[in-house]
Amino acid sequence: MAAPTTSTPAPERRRRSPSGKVSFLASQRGRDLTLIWLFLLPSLAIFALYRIIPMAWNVVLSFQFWSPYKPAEFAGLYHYEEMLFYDDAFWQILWNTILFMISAPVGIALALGVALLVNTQIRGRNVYRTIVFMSYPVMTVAVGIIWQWLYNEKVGLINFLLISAGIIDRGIPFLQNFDFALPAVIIASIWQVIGFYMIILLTGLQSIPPNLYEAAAIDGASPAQSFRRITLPLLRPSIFLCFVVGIINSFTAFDLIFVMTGGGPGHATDLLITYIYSTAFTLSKFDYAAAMTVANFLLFVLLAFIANRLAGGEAGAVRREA
Amino acid sequence: MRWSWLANRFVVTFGGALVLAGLWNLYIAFNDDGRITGRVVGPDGQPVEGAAVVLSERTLLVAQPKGNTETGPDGSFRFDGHRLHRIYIEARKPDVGRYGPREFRLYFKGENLDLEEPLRLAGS
Amino acid sequence: MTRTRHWPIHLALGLVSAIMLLPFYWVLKTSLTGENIFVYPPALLPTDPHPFFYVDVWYAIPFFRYLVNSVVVSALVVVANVFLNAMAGYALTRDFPGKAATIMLFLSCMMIPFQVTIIPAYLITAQMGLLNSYFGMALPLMSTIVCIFIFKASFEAIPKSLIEAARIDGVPDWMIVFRIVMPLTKPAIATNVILAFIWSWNSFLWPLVIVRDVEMQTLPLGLSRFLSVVEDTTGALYAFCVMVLVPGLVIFLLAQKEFITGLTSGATKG
Repeated sequence: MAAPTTSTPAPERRRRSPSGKVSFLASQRGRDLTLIWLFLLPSLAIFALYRIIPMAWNVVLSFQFWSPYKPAEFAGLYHYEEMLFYDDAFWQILWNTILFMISAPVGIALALGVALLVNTQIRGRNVYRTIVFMSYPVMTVAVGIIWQWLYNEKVGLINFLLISAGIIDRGIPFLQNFDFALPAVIIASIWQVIGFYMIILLTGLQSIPPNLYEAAAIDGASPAQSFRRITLPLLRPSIFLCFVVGIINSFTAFDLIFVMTGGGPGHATDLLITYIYSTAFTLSKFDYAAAMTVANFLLFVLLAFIANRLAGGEAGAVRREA
Repeated sequence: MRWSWLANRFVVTFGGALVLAGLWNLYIAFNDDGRITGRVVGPDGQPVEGAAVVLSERTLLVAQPKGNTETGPDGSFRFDGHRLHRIYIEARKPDVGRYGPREFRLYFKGENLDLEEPLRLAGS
Repeated sequence: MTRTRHWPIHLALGLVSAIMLLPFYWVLKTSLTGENIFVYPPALLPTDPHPFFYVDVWYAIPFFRYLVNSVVVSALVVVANVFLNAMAGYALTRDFPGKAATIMLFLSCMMIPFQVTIIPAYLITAQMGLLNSYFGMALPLMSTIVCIFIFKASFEAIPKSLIEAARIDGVPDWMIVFRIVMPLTKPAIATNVILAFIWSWNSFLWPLVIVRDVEMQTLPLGLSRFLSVVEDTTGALYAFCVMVLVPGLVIFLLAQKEFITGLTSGATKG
């Protein structure tokens, strides 16, 4: 009785043995285990309630006909068929989402440039770092409003700069234009997240031992060579992390798109997450939205997996080379 | 030592903001009787008696009249108890002229407004 | 490196800083002067700044109500995060059957972005009768896996002998966590507070899904609603933006050191 063999939650056990000579709770080990599980319980409950059960429910829901006013009925692959073969918007939106996710390297490259500059011994580098990072903790809804104005056809700063530079003659309504709307939203999203990339990369840069560079310099390596042979390979885990952040960003970009374009024009800036939201909460097609959620999740896992393989594989190759 | 936690930068910043907000509300409490006073003068600078003065509200979208009065023998007028923060004042008297409507923006609803400069009627 | 070679770096970083700061500056400027679409080119410096757009906004929307809602939700999230994550983190430093499975469970939960769970999460919350409530808004954010692992790492750095000594002195286990271990891990707590605050303060999708009552809206919801309801009030809109941004930015600037170390330690361990 002293030590439980399984992970049965302790509170139940306490009820089962209210008395007894060597009660579970009387032993030190028993008290320890009770405490451990009591400590884990709230967090586990929250994750069960808001991660695990919903994920499973999504899968179940995607195979059902269901709405809040109708009992559930087995639907088989109906929603998946609709999604893949009949919903033209879905393919466009899937493509938008993929574009959004794979645009992350652009931001990461920019952030790497800034991180390298901030990593030098110049005066005021902490000020620069704070400024670049400042857009990250800002409320995304406000970022959306700010950028909506920047892109404005008549009074927006971007159009003003482009006209002043003589690149265009008349203002472009970026967010109402089918070709420009998605890139415009992606740029706004990069603007917000670039500081976060920079901090991750900076941490990576600072963990590279300086004597590696010294050794390379003694061997006559140029700065470009030591960047390619030392910095990039050792930075690979940080870059991978940035990429994962970038993929997740395609979910958090909901706020931005909701405010800036509402998914329009047409579906030009709809991402899966915004389309899921409108399908579920304005059209009340929860079952169909659940099927798309499963697709979105699979896409996320797939890209994260590919990124992981790329990072791991190439990192290994470089280590052999060195 | 016991009070050293007060020197924390968070306590200073947010405590300071709270104190400022408190002082501001105190100031509002003493100055929000909703009084508007002023004088109407004619084009010649002489006080005008019996001029109609209209007070209107301007919200973000519309303007609507909220009160009117007439000036006394010395050309002065007075509104009491308004609860507005963005107002228009207009004065007119047939055969003498009109003033405004001119916008006045207040810092809070019902702020007392004592117009030092007389409203000068002009035109006809 | 010699001093002469620094100016190109300053130039480049100055340009980057300008790009990052210009939108903030423009919002502030417009909130003080309004937008004059008839002046071209747009004036860079504010002409006749005045605070009246702020007055307009203050009376046009229940700003104080939004603020209180946001503060209450964030406070719930922050307090719950510190305690629940510390407890879970402490539990994970101990040995118990099922520990490896629990850690695996946490790690795999991390691969589920909260956004992909909104539909069932909404249905669950509705079942529990928590729609339109502070608790409902706060609950999903009340424990964070990244922060659990931050706590775990910092608890493991505490010498075991200290805990053993306390135990021999007869201090109950739960008290060990709150009276002995937690005070020694102030950086982890600071990180947790700041991360939890920023996530809950900026949270938009979840309140949007579960709040129907205008009285219960938080600042981001109020801001997006203001945008859709009121048109042609650029000055007032930007004044609202500034009022919403200032609390978050002030907290960030005050706590930026902890904030940045927190994010990086969270990110690299995540």
